[in-house]
Amino acid sequence: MRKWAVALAALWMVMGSPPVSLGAEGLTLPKDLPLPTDASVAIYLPKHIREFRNPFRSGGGFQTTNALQLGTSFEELTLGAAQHFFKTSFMYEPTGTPAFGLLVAIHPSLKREDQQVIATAHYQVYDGGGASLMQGDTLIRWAPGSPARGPDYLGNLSEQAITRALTEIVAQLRPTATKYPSQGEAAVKIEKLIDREHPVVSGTGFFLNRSGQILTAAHVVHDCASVDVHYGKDSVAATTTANSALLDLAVLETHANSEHFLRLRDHAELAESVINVGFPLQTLMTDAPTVTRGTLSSRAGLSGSVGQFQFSAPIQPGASGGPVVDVRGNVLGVAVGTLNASELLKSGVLPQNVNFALESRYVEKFLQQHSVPFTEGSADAQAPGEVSIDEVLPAVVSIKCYQ
Amino acid sequence: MLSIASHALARAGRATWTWTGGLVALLALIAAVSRADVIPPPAGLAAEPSALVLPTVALRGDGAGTELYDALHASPLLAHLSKEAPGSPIQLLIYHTVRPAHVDAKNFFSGLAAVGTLGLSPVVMSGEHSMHYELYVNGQQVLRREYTANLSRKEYLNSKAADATHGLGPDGEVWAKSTVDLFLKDLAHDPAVRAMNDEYQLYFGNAVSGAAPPAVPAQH
Repeated sequence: MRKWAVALAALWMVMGSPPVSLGAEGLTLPKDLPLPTDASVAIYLPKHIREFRNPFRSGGGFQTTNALQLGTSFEELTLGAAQHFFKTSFMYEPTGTPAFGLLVAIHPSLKREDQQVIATAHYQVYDGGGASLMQGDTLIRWAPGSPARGPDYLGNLSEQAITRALTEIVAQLRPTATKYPSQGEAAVKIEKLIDREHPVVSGTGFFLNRSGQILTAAHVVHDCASVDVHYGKDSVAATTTANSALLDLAVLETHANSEHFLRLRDHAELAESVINVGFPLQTLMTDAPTVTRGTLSSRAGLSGSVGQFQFSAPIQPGASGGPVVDVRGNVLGVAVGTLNASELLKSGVLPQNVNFALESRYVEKFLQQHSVPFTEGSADAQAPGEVSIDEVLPAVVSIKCYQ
Repeated sequence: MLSIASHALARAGRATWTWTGGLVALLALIAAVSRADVIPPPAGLAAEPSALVLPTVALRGDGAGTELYDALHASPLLAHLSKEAPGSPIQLLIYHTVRPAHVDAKNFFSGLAAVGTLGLSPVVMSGEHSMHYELYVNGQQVLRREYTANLSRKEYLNSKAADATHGLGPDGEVWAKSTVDLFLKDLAHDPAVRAMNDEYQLYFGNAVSGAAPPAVPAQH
């Protein structure tokens, strides 16, 4: 789940425009350090924040361009805050960033706890040569009953959290162009800037063959700066080698020696028993996979969809990319979506176990297009050979995407 | 009044859709998925074999965006545009925004709230008006276009429902409709859109709108 974006959108919808108290305590800046300093700074913000757009606001009325382009607005307010401290500031790009003296990686978040809204910013600072200089966390809290500060309290909260982070950095490092001369970006790889404690997306996948190639949903690994695959007690880095947004499929290369892998079966029977294996709700649950049972309840998905079937085995966020298997462990499809129960509940309807998977025949076609080896299972739905779920589980993996 | 198209699909990996439409419409949509429609290209295209005809494209629009449905749907390119295909992997988002004067980046919500406290609704807000067209495939952006005009009037009414132009004003509404041709031209000539269509044809042929797609021949 893109946590910051979802949190911001949710807060926006739920809270409207309450009064706000920024509550940031003052920090002492060095009086002998003229600001803005002549040290140049590059700022890294995760891509899911920079590119977040929220085209439809709740509650009616058209909206302002700033509200639409929340990611762009956030980037602009970050650079605006930086201009108070640094004469030269710009956003870090994976390629093509100008030389810089300092690199500040900021991972902001917004969350609601009880009646409070909390803006935080975790930051890491590197010099132009890639040496780590410092890191820290700032927290700005809004509480009900605080003095009113206008409708833009979320932007204000975020700006205050970032301003406080920059204040702490300047106070501790006392940066100047002499102390931190500008250097190129080569010494600071994006891997250093990633927040590895908080994946922006988590999902499920499964081994396709003994060579360690994994199939998952494309949206699980889209725009990741880094992808980790967890299976059993092992964890490996993965790279995307094949991708289809249309099918919502991606193949990951791990080079792991995978003894366990799943076979594909390209024809499923209506009403046959199915099992879904996934790693849902990874921020709440343990790392153990979740197994749910149900039936193949329709050969078609939601209106307008193509290539999907509907199944009743319950799934939760994080199950995307997981296999929907028959009783013999053959993959009938890949879990890609579900009806949004919370949204339907607003209209008094509680959908139960209406989930969707991409049919295996399209998976096979996709793998053939990209020359990815796989094995076909028995096409006979009535064939004997029911397997224990323990034979399926080792082939199913947890996937985490970081920015 | 904002009119948001119904969407009830959420990805298992991340909740992305909002749903504000009617229950009846949703149930009808779900019930309709068993149809096996293979819709031929619109008449008149046979003489132009290279003309692009996109498969089912689901439209999501705000009030101003939804008003453009008929003009878009009249184009052979978007002959399969639908307001009732929430499961389509291809989605076209159209919406209208305003960048009021004297608003900086952190003012995410200024403008609307300011007049809201007076019990008034902006009918036409001064500033830079934009019509946004965004084409997505399963949430990944394929094409984005923004067409902009400066509308300088400022009028207020006591009821949002009284404004049938969705904040554009009469002149703005004409301008918004004029962006359709610009977008269609951009859409037809975008290589990423053509690649998307080619991939769709590869996997699903001419299947559209909840159709049961033709079988993919087994190659193993």
